[in-house]
Amino acid sequence: MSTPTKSWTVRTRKATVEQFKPEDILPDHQPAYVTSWIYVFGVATLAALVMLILSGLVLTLQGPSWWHISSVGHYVNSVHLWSVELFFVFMVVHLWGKFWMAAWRGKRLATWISGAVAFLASIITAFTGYLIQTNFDSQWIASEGKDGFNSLGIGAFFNTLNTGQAILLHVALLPLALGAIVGWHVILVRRHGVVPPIDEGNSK
Amino acid sequence: MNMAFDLNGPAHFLTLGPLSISAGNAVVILIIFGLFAAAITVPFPTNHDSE
Repeated sequence: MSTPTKSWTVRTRKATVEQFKPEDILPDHQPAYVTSWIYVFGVATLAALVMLILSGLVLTLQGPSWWHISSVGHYVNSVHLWSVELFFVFMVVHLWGKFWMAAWRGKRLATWISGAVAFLASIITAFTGYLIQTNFDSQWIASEGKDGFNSLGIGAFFNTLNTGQAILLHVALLPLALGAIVGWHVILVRRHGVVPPIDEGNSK
Repeated sequence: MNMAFDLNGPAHFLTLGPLSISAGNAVVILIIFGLFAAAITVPFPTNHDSE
């Protein structure tokens, strides 16, 4: 039985396979120039993000003040904290590495922009994490940040003193948005390939 | 000596004229500089013999 071409699922499937070839998305070979430490920090950032999400899921189940009253909670919170430290350290090294090799070459502009947007989204997500520590540090940051956001004219929409809003942003909206952006970034990297060093030629 | 992190207050800041940075942030930025320098200078281990 032939598949009707008017089917939107068939059209979506064909377009998806055409745009995102399986051998590009899940490759079994990489160019020789990838054997450099500077090419390691993208996947290191992803590894830290996985640890962030896993530890964050546990913290979400137990609530934001769990880590104050439980040694296990304190441990999981510390895993979350140091994962985010490593996440940003690896991401900044990745950013610098890609900036100095002009990683937007070879039709990779969308890859570069999606990475930059992921960086900005990460900063906002981390900021809301600071706000829900439920200690004097988070209170200090919230009260100081309130003045800053008020001066930008967005204090009515994003109230740093509203802990409930910060929790929902941090555990629901922002991780979903960041996950989608990072997923798109990785797909673009796979689709266009890893950027070659500048001395390998600009046309690749 | 108490080495525990105290999160119940603002951080210690290093200041130089109009510039100001928390000690924690300064340490992390120095680590990033060091890691970046190592990433572009340290040779990557290769295993050509097995190819």
